[in-house]
Amino acid sequence: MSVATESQRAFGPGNGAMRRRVLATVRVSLPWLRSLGAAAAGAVALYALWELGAAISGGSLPRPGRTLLTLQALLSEPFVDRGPNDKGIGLQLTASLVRVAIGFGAASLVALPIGILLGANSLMRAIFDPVVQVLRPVSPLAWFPIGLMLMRSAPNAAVFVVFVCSLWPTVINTAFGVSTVPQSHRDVARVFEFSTFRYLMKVVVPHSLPHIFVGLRLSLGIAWLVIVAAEMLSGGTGIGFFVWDSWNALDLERVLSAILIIGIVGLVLDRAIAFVGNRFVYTEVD
Amino acid sequence: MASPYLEIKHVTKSFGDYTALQDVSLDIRRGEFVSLIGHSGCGKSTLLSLIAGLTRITSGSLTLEGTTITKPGADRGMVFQHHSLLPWLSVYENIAEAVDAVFRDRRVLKRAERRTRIERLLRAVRLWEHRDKKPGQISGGQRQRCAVARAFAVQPRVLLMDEPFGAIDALTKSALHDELLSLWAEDSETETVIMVTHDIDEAIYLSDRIVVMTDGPRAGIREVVEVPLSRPRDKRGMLHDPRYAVTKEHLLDLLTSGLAVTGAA
Repeated sequence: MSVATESQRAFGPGNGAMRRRVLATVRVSLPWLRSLGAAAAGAVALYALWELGAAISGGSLPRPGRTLLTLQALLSEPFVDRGPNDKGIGLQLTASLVRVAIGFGAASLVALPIGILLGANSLMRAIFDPVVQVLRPVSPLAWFPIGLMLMRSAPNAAVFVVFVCSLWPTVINTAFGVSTVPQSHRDVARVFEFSTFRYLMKVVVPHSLPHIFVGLRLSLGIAWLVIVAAEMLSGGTGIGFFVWDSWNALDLERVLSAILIIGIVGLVLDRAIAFVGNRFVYTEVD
Repeated sequence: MASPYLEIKHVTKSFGDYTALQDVSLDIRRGEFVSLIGHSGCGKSTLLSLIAGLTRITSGSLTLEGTTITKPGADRGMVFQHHSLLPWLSVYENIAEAVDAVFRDRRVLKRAERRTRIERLLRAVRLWEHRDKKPGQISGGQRQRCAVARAFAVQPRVLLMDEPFGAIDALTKSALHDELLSLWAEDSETETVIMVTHDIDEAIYLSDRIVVMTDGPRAGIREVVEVPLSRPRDKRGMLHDPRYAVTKEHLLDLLTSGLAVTGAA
């Protein structure tokens, strides 16, 4: 008996253990398979509705099959550059992503310290909260003329619009996180004589990070929404310009292809920032 | 005789119109283990947080070795009612951050000495194997042991504990009592302990003196009871000691007659 156990230890698990392990794997992957199946069903449903809509429109709305062929053609030469009105979809996407990166990045760098300041100081909060509340609901495109005036270039005005619109969620959520540090954590910092720097780095920031990431995630989502609209106004390059240019050429298949791409890129951005943010989630005890 | 170590003289504490403590006077000697006991809301936690310096007295005087207490400091280590570990730091980091914060300016303990000290304390409270876990991954008893280790780690002269074992089951509590006593005995820097509790047996087992408080508002001290048991004490043996029975009965009288007075009034 003990020999058999020894040999199992030496040569890996026996049949029973193997079977249990396989079953466990199946059980673990079942929910995953389930959500994959559900997503596939959703895609099929969208395809069917789209097909139906195309049939009802009598040909004005391109059918999904032809759109997917156009999409395939677009994706086959993403970085082709045949002059200002014929650039590959990859180049247009890159232009938009660079603008979002600059606008959102700069906004985050500005919004974080402001959020921390507003969260830490209730007087500051009382003063600036109304300002934020008034500016926050302003339509992104209303900022476009201001951007043109300040940046003196249409593409840079688009960056400015992204910058302004992605400030607010980060400011608001950072301020919320910082202002909700529990009294018990403050007391710990006081009793153990934490310096201001240590208090900031070991108490305020870790407590606020999940809130900060909620803000960043919302801001990035808004930035991606806004860039498409802003590029329709600014022209030149970018996925928004591509949509508008395709509409002017009455090429709805390209418009629909771009919509699919915008949606998928937006999803990837959202998941990426959520993935980073999840690393800072902690379990509150008590 | 020299002036008292920790002197509480005619201390009153009000929150707006509400007077939590009125004219409280108490002298605590160096090296004493004192428990504050009373019903919920009698201001015992308030008194502790005044000594900690977390809140300021309204009137009276409060001095430690002749120096007025105005703010919190690591010379008075604290074990909070709800452990108050930082949830994003591991068990080890929770203690290390406190140690680094306290000894940063003083250059008393070198880095290696701090590590040794933290390890010794974590082993003493049986958490060394769990040092890399977050507070959310360990049990309530383990969290409280970590908080006790953190308080001892900064070598306070006075250790303040606010119902440190209130949320802990009886068996774990009993083990924690002995851990606490052995830490207290070993740790040369920490001599004086002040503990808030509502557990009479815990108070008798651990304390030299028990301060029984009257009910709030305007709470004060009803009586200070000496515990006539010599150290080291034995929990099991204590139960059969007639002096234990007398002390417990006296404490019960003080606490329940307080209730009767409140009921009559």
